[in-house]
Amino acid sequence: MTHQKPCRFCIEKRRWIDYKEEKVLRRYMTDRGKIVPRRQSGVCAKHQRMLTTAIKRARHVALLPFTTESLR
Amino acid sequence: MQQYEGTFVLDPSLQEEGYNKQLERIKKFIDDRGGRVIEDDRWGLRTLAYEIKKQTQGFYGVLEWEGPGELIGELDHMLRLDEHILRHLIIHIDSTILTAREELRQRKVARTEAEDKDERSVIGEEGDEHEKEFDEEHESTGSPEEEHESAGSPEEEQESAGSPEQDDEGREE
Repeated sequence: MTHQKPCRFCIEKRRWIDYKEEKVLRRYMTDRGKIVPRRQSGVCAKHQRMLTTAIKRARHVALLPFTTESLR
Repeated sequence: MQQYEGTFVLDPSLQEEGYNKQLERIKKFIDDRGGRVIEDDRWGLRTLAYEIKKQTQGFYGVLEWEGPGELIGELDHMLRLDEHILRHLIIHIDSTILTAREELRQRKVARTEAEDKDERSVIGEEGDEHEKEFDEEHESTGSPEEEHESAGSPEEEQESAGSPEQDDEGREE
């Protein structure tokens, strides 16, 4: 019997994920800069939605990369 | 009156001086059009995650203000025309975000108080648990993906590295 682990943002009762929280957002990206699918990270649908918008906003202002191919 | 937040990424060639000047200009623009700036957070020079207009660094500034919505279009237009502004992002701060922020702030206060009481209790900063659990999960699923979250934490102190203390005095290059 496998129990679905609750999403970490749910545990924290997070209502919003800010695009400036680079540190947190990076944990939900692969080292190539892709957004980790929630089947891997275990984030719930609601929080995954917040995450994606946050990551996309952060990418726009160059806090996070779209891909790592470019630099480095 | 609505509340907004804008992040501005400015050209590094402006130097510290031009950077501050530009932000003041944006603030004045907002003020002149019936807005009121409530927060001004200057992160200073930061390395960009990718090149923009051949630049690898940029000056970051985050403003928060209250004002009419009509202002946004004009501001956006002005920012777009300015070549020294590499990127800008304006978002609407709604009540959900405000309450969420307030909650986070209170939690942080509670946490620091708890730490004060018990010094050896190591309550990591937010997101510490995220990292740990994420790793566990990866092991249990044994995903054969070539991309693995390496979960290194060298960027740990980076997030709030917006301290303007870096090069207060003149820069060399």
